[in-house]
Amino acid sequence: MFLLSVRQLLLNPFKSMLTMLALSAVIATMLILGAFEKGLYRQVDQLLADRRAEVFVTQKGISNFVAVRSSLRQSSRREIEAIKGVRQAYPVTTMPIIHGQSGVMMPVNMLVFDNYGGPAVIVQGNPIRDSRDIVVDLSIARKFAIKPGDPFTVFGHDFNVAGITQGAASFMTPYVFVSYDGLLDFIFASEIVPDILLFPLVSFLLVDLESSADAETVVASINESVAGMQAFTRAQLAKNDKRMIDDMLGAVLSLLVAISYVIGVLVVSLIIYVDVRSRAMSFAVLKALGFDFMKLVQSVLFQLLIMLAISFPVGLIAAVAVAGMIESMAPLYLLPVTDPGLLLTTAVACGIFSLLSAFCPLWLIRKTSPDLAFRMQQ
Amino acid sequence: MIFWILKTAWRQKLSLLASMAGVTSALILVIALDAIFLGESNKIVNYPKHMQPDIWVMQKGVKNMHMATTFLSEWVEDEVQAVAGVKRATPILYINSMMAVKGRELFSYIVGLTREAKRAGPWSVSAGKSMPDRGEVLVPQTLEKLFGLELGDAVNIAEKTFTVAGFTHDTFSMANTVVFIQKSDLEDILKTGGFISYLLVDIEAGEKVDVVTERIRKEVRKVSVLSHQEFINNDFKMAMMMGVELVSFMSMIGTALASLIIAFTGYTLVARNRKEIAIAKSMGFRNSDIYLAIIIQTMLVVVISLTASFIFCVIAIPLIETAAPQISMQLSAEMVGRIASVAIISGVLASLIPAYLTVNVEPVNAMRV
Repeated sequence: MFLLSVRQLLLNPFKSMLTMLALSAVIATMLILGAFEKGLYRQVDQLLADRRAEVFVTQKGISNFVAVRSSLRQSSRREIEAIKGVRQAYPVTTMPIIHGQSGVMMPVNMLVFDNYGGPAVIVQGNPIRDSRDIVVDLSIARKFAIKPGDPFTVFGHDFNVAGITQGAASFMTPYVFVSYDGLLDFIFASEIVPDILLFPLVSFLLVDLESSADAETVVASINESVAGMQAFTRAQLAKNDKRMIDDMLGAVLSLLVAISYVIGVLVVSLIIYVDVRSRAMSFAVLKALGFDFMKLVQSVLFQLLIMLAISFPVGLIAAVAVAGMIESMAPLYLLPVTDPGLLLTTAVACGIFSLLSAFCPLWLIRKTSPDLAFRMQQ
Repeated sequence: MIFWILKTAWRQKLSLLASMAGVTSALILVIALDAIFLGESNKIVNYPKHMQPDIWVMQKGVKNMHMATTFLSEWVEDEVQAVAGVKRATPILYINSMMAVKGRELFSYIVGLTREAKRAGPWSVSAGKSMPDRGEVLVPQTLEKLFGLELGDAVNIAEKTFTVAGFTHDTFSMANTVVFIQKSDLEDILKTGGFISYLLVDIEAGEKVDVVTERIRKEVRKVSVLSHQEFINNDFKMAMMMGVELVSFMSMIGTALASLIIAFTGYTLVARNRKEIAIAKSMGFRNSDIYLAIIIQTMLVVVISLTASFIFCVIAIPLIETAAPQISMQLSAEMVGRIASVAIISGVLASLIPAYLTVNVEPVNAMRV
């Protein structure tokens, strides 16, 4: 039956190709939708990993790194550095700003750092050298056609783009980096706020541990002994951020993935139905030759499996190409279509909807009468 | 020829139906993406839209509310109030922050109200108080459905615990849930006092918005002054800006998928009738007749699928919003027009493949078994 299925596919190569192309497109769509969700989570991991700290300290009651306002007291650094196992604590401040250029506005997070926790990689230009310098993420650079040396205006204060970093984005919001000196110049020069205290000058502390220290133990010590602050391991903070994203977008993403699965079932059903209908005479002949119902079903299933086996890698290649195009045109989004978990889920989903779709033409095969073969020959 | 192709399509009702189901589902994906995006963008601007002051005053350089941070000294309120033509200037203190509800984190607009600022408070209350007291919070009623939140329950904003004192209507959004607390409570969270974020300015009857806007700009330093319409436009633009590329890409993918299914459908419908088309050719029908007939057949599939997908969405959207109240979806005439034109154009292009293959068939070859 396997050979029969192969020959059936080779009988009309154009039709088989078009069929597999449609299947590949469905698989690519499923992969891209799934990759969007995975990408959001991966960006959270990357953003925290790029800060190069195993332990993060936040304001008490704040359990996220992205999309929150956290404010720590000025003495927090000294207090944390007094904890056993802590080598040093580095302050960073995050601040949401809205960057507008040529009539286009974009929400951006400004991350202020001292000498630790800044941009992980510079893909173009230089790192920050003085208080006027700013490093922007590639997604902002692409969107506004910014190059190193260009001005970057925040609330009327001009920074100088020293360099461009990559992968500094989370939750559909890119980051720009400035030094603490840059922040102070910005606050005083722009005269936009009535009081400097309105800015949280320390949002988080990035804790560098001694080589023998255990992150969990240090977190427990901070949470027990320091008031008004809360410590998290990097993994805990990432988990909290992912949960927040899931709380906000989970239902929508699930709805879209569900629609893509329904498309999968419908398209495969359509393909099988059309194929079985067009082969009514072949089935009649096979029935007349003595092939039983199960054998014929087997041949349909084999044919479907062969098509899926070819369409899956083609769909994956298409998804990689489309994801690459999206990431290149809008680097704010990360689409890890080759994520092993995603590939497995999609492959299992394909298997399930193929089986579901295979039920669709069973009645057609069953009702095909062997005498049809003789009638059609007359 | 056209009559024949329509008759043939009718003879293959089940195949046609299966094809339409495939195209419809791909179009539903495109519509769903657009509807979610538009629905959510509209929800994001709900607060300013309902407040509807004549003029908004905020920190210099700020032009909207979504994702914005703005602080003004409290005395700016007196300065604005003193401008000729200003009837009332209502202050609010505002930040974007997380609110913890039964172990879940919600990104929220936290609006801090003074006791006199009822004008800037909730526009529709379904249960409990319409203005919060110290330590109290008014939250969207959707949270009652989502998390089983009840009046008297506790929620957290930063390190402060608040008691739910009221449920409000039409204030929930996936990206920005609007909650109301007392300004003094928000000052505690910010660890500062004496500041406001926005002034909602109502003007005297008979005054013109642009004239009063200009007066405020001249008389009050270091502030940004925008008419309500400008402010709303900026906010909506900002809401649409987030994720717009992604939605465009996803829509393109959905459209490409629909086109492929249309091409596949067209091809299978035509392939089944190769012999008849070959006979038509040998009887002298021109290639243009065959092209037209095949395009019309494909258009039939596209138009019925488009109609079915929009009808499905009109029925399904309220059901989805009831089952998952955190999802907000909205259809618009512009969206219908755009998706319909893209689907029709891609349908025509997709049908050209089977049409081309058919007109190039030699009648003699097609008649061979």
